[in-house]
Amino acid sequence: MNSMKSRILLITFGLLILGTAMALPAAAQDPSQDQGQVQTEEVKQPRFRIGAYFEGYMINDKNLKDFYHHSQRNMPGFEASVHTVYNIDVWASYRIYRDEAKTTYFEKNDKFRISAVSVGLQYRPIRWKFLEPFVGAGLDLYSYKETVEAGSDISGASGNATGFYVQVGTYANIYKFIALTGFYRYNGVKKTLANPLPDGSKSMDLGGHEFGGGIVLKF
Amino acid sequence: MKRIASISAIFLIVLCIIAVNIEGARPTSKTTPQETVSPEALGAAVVKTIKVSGSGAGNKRYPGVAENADGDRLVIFRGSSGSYMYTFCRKGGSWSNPAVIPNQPKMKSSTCTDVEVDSTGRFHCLWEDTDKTLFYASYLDGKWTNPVRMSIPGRNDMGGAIAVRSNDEVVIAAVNFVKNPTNSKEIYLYFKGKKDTHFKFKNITNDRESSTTPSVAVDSNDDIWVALKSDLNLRDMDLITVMHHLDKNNSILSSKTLSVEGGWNFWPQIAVNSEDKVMATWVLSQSADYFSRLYNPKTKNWSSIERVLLGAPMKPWAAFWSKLAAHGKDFYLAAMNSGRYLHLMKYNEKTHRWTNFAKISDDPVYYFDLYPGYDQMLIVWDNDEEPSNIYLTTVDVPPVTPTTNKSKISGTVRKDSKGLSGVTMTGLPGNPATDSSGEYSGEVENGWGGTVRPQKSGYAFSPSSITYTNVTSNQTDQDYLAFIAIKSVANLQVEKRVERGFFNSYTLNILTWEANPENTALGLVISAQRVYRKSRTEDNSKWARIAELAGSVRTYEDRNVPSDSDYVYAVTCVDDKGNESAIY
Repeated sequence: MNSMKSRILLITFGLLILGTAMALPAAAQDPSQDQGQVQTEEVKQPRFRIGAYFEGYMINDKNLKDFYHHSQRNMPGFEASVHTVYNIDVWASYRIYRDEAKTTYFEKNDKFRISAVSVGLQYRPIRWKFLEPFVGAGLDLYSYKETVEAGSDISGASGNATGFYVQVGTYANIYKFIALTGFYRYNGVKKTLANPLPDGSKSMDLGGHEFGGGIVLKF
Repeated sequence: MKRIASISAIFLIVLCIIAVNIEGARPTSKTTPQETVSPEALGAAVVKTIKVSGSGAGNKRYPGVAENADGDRLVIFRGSSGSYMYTFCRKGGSWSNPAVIPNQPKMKSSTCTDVEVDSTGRFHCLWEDTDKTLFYASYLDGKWTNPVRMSIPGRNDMGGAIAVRSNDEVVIAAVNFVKNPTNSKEIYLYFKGKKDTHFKFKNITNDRESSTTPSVAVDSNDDIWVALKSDLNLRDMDLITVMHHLDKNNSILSSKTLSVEGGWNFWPQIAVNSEDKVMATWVLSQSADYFSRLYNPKTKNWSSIERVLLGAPMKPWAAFWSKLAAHGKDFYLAAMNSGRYLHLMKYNEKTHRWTNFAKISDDPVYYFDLYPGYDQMLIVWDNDEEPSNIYLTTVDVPPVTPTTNKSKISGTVRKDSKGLSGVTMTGLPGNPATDSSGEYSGEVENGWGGTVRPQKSGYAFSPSSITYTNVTSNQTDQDYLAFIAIKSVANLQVEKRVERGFFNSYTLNILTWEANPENTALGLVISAQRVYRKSRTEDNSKWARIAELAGSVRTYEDRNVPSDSDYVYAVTCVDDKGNESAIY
């Protein structure tokens, strides 16, 4: 489990470092040199964006919705991106999905958590003064865990799942260093299990629709 | 010449008269006139005599004989060494070589024997050594019990007699000689139940001269009838024959003086026939006359005294031994005349007379015993002259046809080795209950079949019931063991449930129950409860204990059972003494 997390973080930071490395040559150019309008605009873009947002996650899995009695969970999320070239950013996000229910007979607390990491590229095709819409896609790296309160003979379970995401959204620049953001994201993350779920199926679909908004610092 | 002839004739007549008188005064065996001989009876009787004492030298004396329901016969007698010996004969077989009854204490010679049989075919034997000590032993299937010296306050004198009750309790009547302080001779009854190891005893007289062997008999109600000699309230040398009637609890119901003439009324005998009529006989020694009286239980009256005529002149003080037995409805008396010749007499109730049924031997007899076999009267005797041997004479009689078509079923219900009273024996006619000793008895028609089940609130029994088919004889020792009936829990419910998390789940059976109100009513302390489980299709030997719980718990979760299991459950209760209720 920990190794998986480490691996995800390693990949995330790897992509960020790669993006940073790709961005550095552009940053190293002397702004006084006459390199044309486009180059000037490139230089004026902030290199980094760090944001926090609040989102709703509408999970696909029917068993999870039935057992935990929620079809949507609201949760915080964090993102970071590094601008590379051509309005393309290396982008990553981390959020935690939590839900809780009782076991069916002994009514012990049963907690479920997904640590979701998404890593991919984000492209901002148009950069208006106020709005910068974007599209993105990449990998979803999920880690899930069920924890059952002591007193039941049921043991919890945990595992990892991978998938993809696609997203659309926009930044709304309200100050030089601050922007607001809104997005919609679709995740496709499925996992085949050894034991059947409550409805008898062995396939778990952790993906779903996300939509949310937040604030981004750019520098 | 005429005078000489007349004198000679008179002389011859006188000689003839003397000769006839001499012959009459000295009876011989083969020509003894039988004053009361019934030609039909003598002609019909088939008499056979065999020697059963083997070929050893020396004198054998004091025989006793009995036959059990299987037709097996046992003869015991005093051997030439003074020890008691026995010989046994299976029905239709031959007599075994006489052997010493094992484990006897050293005897100073022995006298006075009696043998009786119980419902199991066991032979109960009694004899007395000349040190005036009674010994008892029993014999069954080739095995003797160790002879035991009767536990008596004083010592015995002139032997005793045995009878057996329907529950196989042995009853012995014997003279007990107590030297101090009164030098009295009292009649004691000794009792030994089938499972008892020792005799209990009871004094039934309060005089000083009950000094000859009493006689004892048991009727169909298990009442005891005892005949004895007594000198109560009489002058010296005047003895009477007295009867005591005791109920089945050994309490004296009545007593009666049977003889009315003064003198030595001696050697009393008593017997009960199949109609519970009681016959008592005795001998008046100074006239050598035997007498009898018959008791009719329906009228509750004793007949007048009847004289038993043995035939041949009886010499005063020269005859006293006799033996009385009932065979079906009939009474037989074996008695000696003054010449020691033994006669078997039969009582005719219609004429109130004793008739001579058979001549037993051609030789004078010293001692003898009489026993009613199935279709023969058995008489064992020893010849008067030495060397003496033991002979068995059989006299054919009509087989006993049962006068009742009923049989008894009896036994004891015990708890912790003590009788349990108030147990209702359901299934027996009338549903009899156990008495204070835990004993019960019920009467059924012959051929009856059914199941007898003891019942008493709060108790269970082992066996829980006994099933009978075609009962044709008394069934004794139908015993049960009782124990506190701890009941298992009440209203046991089983509910199958699933405990499910998101990823994992298991099936569990939830058991709930209530305390059994019967246990509560009995005040039982339930210290533990045990949960048992088996598959529905498994037999009852497969119950497996899966949990032991405190006595106050009312639920149990059998977790992680297969979801398709078909388990059934039982929850038993365990009291503070460790008794556990039945699973099912």
